[in-house]
Amino acid sequence: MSANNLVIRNLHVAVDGKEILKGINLTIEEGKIHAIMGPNGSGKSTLAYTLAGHPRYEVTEGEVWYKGQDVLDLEPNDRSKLGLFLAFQYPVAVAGVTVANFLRAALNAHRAQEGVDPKSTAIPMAEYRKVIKSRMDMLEMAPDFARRYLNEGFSGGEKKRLEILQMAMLQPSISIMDETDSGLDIDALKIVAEGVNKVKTEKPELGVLVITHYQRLLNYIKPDYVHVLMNGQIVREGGPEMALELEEKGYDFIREEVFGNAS
Amino acid sequence: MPANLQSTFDVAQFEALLASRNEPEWLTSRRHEAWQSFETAEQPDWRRTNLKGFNLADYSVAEAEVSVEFAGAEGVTILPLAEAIQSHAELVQRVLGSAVQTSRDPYSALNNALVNGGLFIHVAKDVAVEELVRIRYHVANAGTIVAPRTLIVTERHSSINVIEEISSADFDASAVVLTGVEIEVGDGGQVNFSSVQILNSNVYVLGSQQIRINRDAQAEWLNVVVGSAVQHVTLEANLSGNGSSVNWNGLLYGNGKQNLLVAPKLNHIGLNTEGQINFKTVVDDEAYAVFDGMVKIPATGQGTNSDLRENALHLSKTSRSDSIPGLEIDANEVKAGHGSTSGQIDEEQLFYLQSRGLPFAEAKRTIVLGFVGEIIDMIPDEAVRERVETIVADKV
Repeated sequence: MSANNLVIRNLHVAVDGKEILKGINLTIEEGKIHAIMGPNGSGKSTLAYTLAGHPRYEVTEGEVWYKGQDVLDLEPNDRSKLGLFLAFQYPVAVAGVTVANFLRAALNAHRAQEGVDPKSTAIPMAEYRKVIKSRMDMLEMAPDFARRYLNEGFSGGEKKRLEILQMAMLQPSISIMDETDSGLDIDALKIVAEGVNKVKTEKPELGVLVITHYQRLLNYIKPDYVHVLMNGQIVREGGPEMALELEEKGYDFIREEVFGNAS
Repeated sequence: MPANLQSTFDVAQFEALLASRNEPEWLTSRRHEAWQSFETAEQPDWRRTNLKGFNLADYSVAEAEVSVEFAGAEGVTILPLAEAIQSHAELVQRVLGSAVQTSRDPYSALNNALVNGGLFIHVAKDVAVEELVRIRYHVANAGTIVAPRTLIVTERHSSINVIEEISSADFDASAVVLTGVEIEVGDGGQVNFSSVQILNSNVYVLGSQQIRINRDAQAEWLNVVVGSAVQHVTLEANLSGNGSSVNWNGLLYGNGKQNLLVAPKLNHIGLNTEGQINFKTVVDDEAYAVFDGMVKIPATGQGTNSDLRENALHLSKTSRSDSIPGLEIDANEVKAGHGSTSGQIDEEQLFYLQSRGLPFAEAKRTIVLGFVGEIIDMIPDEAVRERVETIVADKV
């Protein structure tokens, strides 16, 4: 098995003492697109936040391996440097911090090496301007976007596009898209999905984990595998056709098959 | 604390100051009145300003070093206050003491008794001044008490942009600055005034600033306070004229043992006036900052549109801030909003920045600099802005 696969083994996670994830086993393969689908409250976002290292999520059991490292031992910033990226469902506004300055700080953090003067590894300003311009052009973003404060006063669509811009700038090798489709109309959704596909085309080895409640995003970001998360466990796995089946039948038929008629 | 302040400050210093001047009778008599008021006043009940260990006997009267950077323009007069007292007696007489009111407290009285140094700026009618006027008061020595005063009077339909910086040498013992800013904006005109206080952390600052805004006139007001040991400064925007407006921003950033207080009062006196207050506070270590705000809309203030915002960020468990946003409304057709928040750095913001690769300390620093950056970016002079940025970067 490639060390460039992200391997989740028997992951149990609690929030405020309540167990949400109850033994997740999942391998995100290098270069593949995986979709995790599930009803509200199934633990989808918990999985996303846990992989990114949010302090509120307490791992009670299990392990996550990537590139030979136990991801769970790493601080959120070190996970980012390792190549993990989380596109937030609800991106956070930070007043007074421009998109351009923030992305430069993030790039420089990625380039920094222990024991080396950060000035010597920092991206030169001219090069940075070129990179951000080309990325913004690729995503068809207006130049003034870079001068705005991070997510401050952004529309839902703008927030999600900024997430994709960050992904395009940081060039992760695993990207987790947490309900990227939520709150977007179909046009915004297409733009965002197109952005993801462009980044993926440029970097075919990128592994993607698309977390979604609905099938419609998967019309634009085509998954290789679909996993169904329910009650904190992966209860079904299959190919892209499973997303269509879920769309048609809803989640209840799986719930009945797995948990009986108890619900 | 002695009950009688007079015992702490030698009258001989006051007399020496008077003797060294050849001032008109009205001013001498005002100084005498102010001194008498100072002598008899009770110690004020300032529960939020720590004057423990502060003793006026420790200081001797001096003048702040004054510098002005301005190429000059027709219709603009900038004079040392001592000269303006002679040449523009009527204007000075009208405006001097409008912010620093002898009856307010003994320190205001002392301020008026000792006012020395300072500047007078006058803009003739219909004159729009493009160039920024840069003024600076600098306290060179410990053990001194200085009382510089800035007076700005603009005639109708004129405009000017002024930045006042108050700084000091880096001495270890304390000094006192009795500040005063007194501004009158003529009808239909505009004054942009930025006050930046970057005194070293041993200096006491006591004083008042006031802007009176006449009919259809506007003011942009910025108060940046990052220095001093203790500051207690009253700020007052009087929207006296119908249709006048003020856009007012400020920053308090305290660390160490700094105790910084501003008391902004926004008075909507005229008809259809507009005022926005937006202050930010950061406290770290054992610092204590106070925003004692008040919006007053008397019965004359119909059609007022007023908004007051104050947001405080606490970076340590032992730092404190008080926000007292007051609202007094006696008119019925008004729009008035206010809100204040205080709290620690948002955990979600921290996580968001960390998840993009920023180490914890850098993420925290980025958030704090962003929080204050919105205000610091408004400082109109690059050199001053850089000095403030350097001080703030050291604090974070």
